[in-house]
Amino acid sequence: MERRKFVLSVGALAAGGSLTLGTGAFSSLEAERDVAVNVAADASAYLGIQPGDGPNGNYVDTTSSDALAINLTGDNNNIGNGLAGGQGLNANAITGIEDIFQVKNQGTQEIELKIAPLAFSDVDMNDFDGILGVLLVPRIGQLELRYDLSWEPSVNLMSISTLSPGDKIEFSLVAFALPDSAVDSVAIDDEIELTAEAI
Amino acid sequence: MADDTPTLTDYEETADIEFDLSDEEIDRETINAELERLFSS
Repeated sequence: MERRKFVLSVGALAAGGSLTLGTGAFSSLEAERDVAVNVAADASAYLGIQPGDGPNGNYVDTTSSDALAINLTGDNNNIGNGLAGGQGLNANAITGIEDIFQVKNQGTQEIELKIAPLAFSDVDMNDFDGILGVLLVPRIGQLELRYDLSWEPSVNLMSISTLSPGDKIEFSLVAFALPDSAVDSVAIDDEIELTAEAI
Repeated sequence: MADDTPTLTDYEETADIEFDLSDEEIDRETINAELERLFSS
């Protein structure tokens, strides 16, 4: 079983925040022979966690530990190189970002992929001056229905099976920051956890 | 739910949260339409 975490940073305009994926071993072994093992960066690891192929992949950047992070803030390292200066979500608007990141099975076995959480929120509880919601959307609606997608109420988790070696699932994102006064009053700084288990 | 287009209500139930949009200019149907567009894109 491999478990990874992903960092999410989202803010309405300049608010701080980040979604992060961590690292983990895909398998382990013990043997009396030479073994060479590398820990790879997220993009090339057995559970590949990569920016989307298109321009929206620039909303994902890399943390200091080489883990990928969805970063919809002014701290995104791609600002000026793929991102033309934007520093956060528009307030009083719905933002849809297609193909922001993808998860690819780069191992040897079919896996069941679990991803949690799927929904993030922040509410300005002081004066109820802002609502920020971020929803992860798997892009499988037009694929052949060979994936079993299940949602588990109350635990904020979705599982996708079966992901064969070489298969990938792309994710999009829907975010809404409401109303206009949400600027600088709400933000999200959280993590997504991905779990892959051979089946 | 399996393989169906998710709605905002599905996310709320999954996460055990509720977004109160009653006083907002943007309604749930608009968010659901965007979810459907991205899920099926």
